[in-house]
Amino acid sequence: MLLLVVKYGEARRLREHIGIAWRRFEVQRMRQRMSRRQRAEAFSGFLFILPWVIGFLVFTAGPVIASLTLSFCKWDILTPVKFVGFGNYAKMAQDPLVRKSLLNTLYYAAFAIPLGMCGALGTALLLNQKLSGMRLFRTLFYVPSVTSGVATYLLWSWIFNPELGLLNRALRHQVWWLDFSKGIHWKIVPLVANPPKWLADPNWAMPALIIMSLWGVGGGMLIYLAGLQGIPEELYEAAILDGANNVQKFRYVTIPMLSPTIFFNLIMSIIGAFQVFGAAFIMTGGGPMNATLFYVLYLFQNAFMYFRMGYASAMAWVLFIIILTLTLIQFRLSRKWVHYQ
Amino acid sequence: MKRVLTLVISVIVAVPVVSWVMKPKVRPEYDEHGRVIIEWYNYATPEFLDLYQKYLIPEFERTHPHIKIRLNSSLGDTGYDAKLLTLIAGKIPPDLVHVTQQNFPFYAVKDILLDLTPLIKSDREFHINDYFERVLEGMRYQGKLLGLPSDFSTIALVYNKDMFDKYGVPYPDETWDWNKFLWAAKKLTRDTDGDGVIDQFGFVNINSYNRWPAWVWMAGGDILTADMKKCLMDDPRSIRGMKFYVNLSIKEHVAPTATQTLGQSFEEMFMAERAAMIADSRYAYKVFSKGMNFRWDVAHMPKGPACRATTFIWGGNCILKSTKHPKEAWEFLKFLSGYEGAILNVKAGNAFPAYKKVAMSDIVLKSSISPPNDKVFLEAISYGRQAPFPPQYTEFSQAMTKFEGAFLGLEPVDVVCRRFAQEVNAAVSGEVW
Repeated sequence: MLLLVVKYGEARRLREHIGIAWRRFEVQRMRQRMSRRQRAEAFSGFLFILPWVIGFLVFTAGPVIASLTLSFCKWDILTPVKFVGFGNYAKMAQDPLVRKSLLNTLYYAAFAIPLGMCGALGTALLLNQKLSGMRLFRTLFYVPSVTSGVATYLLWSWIFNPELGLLNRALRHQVWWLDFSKGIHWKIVPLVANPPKWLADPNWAMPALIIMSLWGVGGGMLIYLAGLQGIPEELYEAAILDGANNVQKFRYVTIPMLSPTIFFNLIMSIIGAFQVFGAAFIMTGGGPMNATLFYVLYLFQNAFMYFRMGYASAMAWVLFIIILTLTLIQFRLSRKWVHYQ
Repeated sequence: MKRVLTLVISVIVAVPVVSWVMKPKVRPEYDEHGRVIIEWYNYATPEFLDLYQKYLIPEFERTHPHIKIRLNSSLGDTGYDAKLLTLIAGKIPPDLVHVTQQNFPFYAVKDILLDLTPLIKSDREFHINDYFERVLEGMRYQGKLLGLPSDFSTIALVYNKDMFDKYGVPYPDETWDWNKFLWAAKKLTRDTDGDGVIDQFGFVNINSYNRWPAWVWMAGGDILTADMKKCLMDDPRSIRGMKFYVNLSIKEHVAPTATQTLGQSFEEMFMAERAAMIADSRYAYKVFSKGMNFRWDVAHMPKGPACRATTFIWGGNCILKSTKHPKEAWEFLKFLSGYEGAILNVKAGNAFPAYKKVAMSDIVLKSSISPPNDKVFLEAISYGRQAPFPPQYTEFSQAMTKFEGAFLGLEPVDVVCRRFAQEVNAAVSGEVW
């Protein structure tokens, strides 16, 4: 099911491919007479997209339909499939962990999305300056996005280690501090005497993962950068002539011109945030005390730890409906603020 | 007309292709010499696989000329269960599967394992008394014996002798009860460099289902009733046992909390001399053999207010109900758990073989790494117990995550125990989902 969402882009591409072939076919039909060569061309057109169509049917559409069917059944792989109607959905409504994992995901999304969006846009703006060595910086900021997930998660779990981690070492660093308790004098104190235990503390594990999510702003940054470079220079020139300052230039030229890019990034971040999985799977396993049990992680556990395939499929379809609704709302809202040139 | 013809032709071509692709793969029952093929699924690491292929299987095939053994290995335990389930779902299940105390409950409650009782009854060469009853107990479920163990170990107290000597603490012995244990653990917990942070702990109390039940039993409590219909973790005795165990880190500070382990496992802490005692199995010898720079030994678990108790770790093999050749599979199962399999486990340094005669012989207890009191692991069988599990095993293991709050010191132990009991009681009275 998730595949469907992930492959949304691919599906669109498929539609385009089929559309082109079909339109050609239709046009030729309208002409009533297709020459032999034209027919051969249409045929080879269909033939060319065939591998993709077969792949889509077998590896995407097939599993999607299978998961929809399974979501109404009980299946542990070992014993035969048993039809239970809406049983899985009813059980979900009562499962405290489903509620907990949804809330966790919303918590993550509420902070990671704005943070990631602003981070990516901010970095893109900085990297859009005409300075020497900018290519190097762009590469440096993008590199984390291409490094392997598992490796970075392991790296970060060491950074967050409460005793030995880089982060808490830095927080415990001794600094000079003005002390007003006995007159005014300087004293040496740690920056933070009792830094958070991060991944080991149920209250701090989620903030830790949110902070870590900034590590991957490179992907969004790249798209913003492309968007920024597509803004015609003359618009800024016109704005300067009209007496606009930098803030006004940003507010009235950059933002509107960039709105389709922002919109795209927003949709992708929402989908990404709701599907967040890897970090918790590698770093916390959903703990401590289910504090980082994301919806998709719980779905995965049900499918591949508890082998409740029907239940996991039902969870996937609920997630699909949530993401679909949010995306449709975004599209509706976008009419108000997204400007296409 | 032409279009119709094309359609017809493509259907004619497509149907056999699709049906060929969709056709379930069938595993051959016999090899080219007419021998019965028995497929054994296990998670042998490459070194183990080598032992199987060089010693065990040729020997079996020599003595059983009508059987051919096919190995199917996941090469390590990651993805083991997923692969097995895929084999079963794909209708090419193996005949024999390897399980441990960790995943056995999952398969046992699914009712896919063959009950060995009739096979044992009709087999005159096989004597069930060649095996430790308390180890067999782990593979019994609802009155059926669903497999034979091949190797096992009890959990005992492994301790650092040098550290005990250094702080003048007498070595643990038969007289040790909870008080003496706690007293020693306190003595051995030290801030060696004086920076206000504890560097060395008396013990490590890990949150694991093959550790904490022992402490519950020591206090006279239990986890489930014998009929698995009721959870007993809300009993004051069970709570007392759990409290003592959890408080070792939370209240007495003689064991590290989750953050104080600094990301090290309890075995790593012991090997790095950051923990004076751990509760561990004889399987750990494999890890220990990589280098211990101090003298160490093994002792009995302390006696609790009610009794002495410990848990088991084991590995064994089961026959799947779906096998077409239960007799031949049984022959191989006997071999794996019998004398030859036992010798192989000794060679591989795999704790104790389940086969009594070999387990209690000198070749095991006088191995190169054995500490002086190695036999404690064998003596502990007399008071060892198998941790129980209900048919609603998934819900049961989910409820177990509740204890995390207690081990982190964020929730009181008695509250967590009662909530656990409540959740398990609700699960065992409900359907298996």
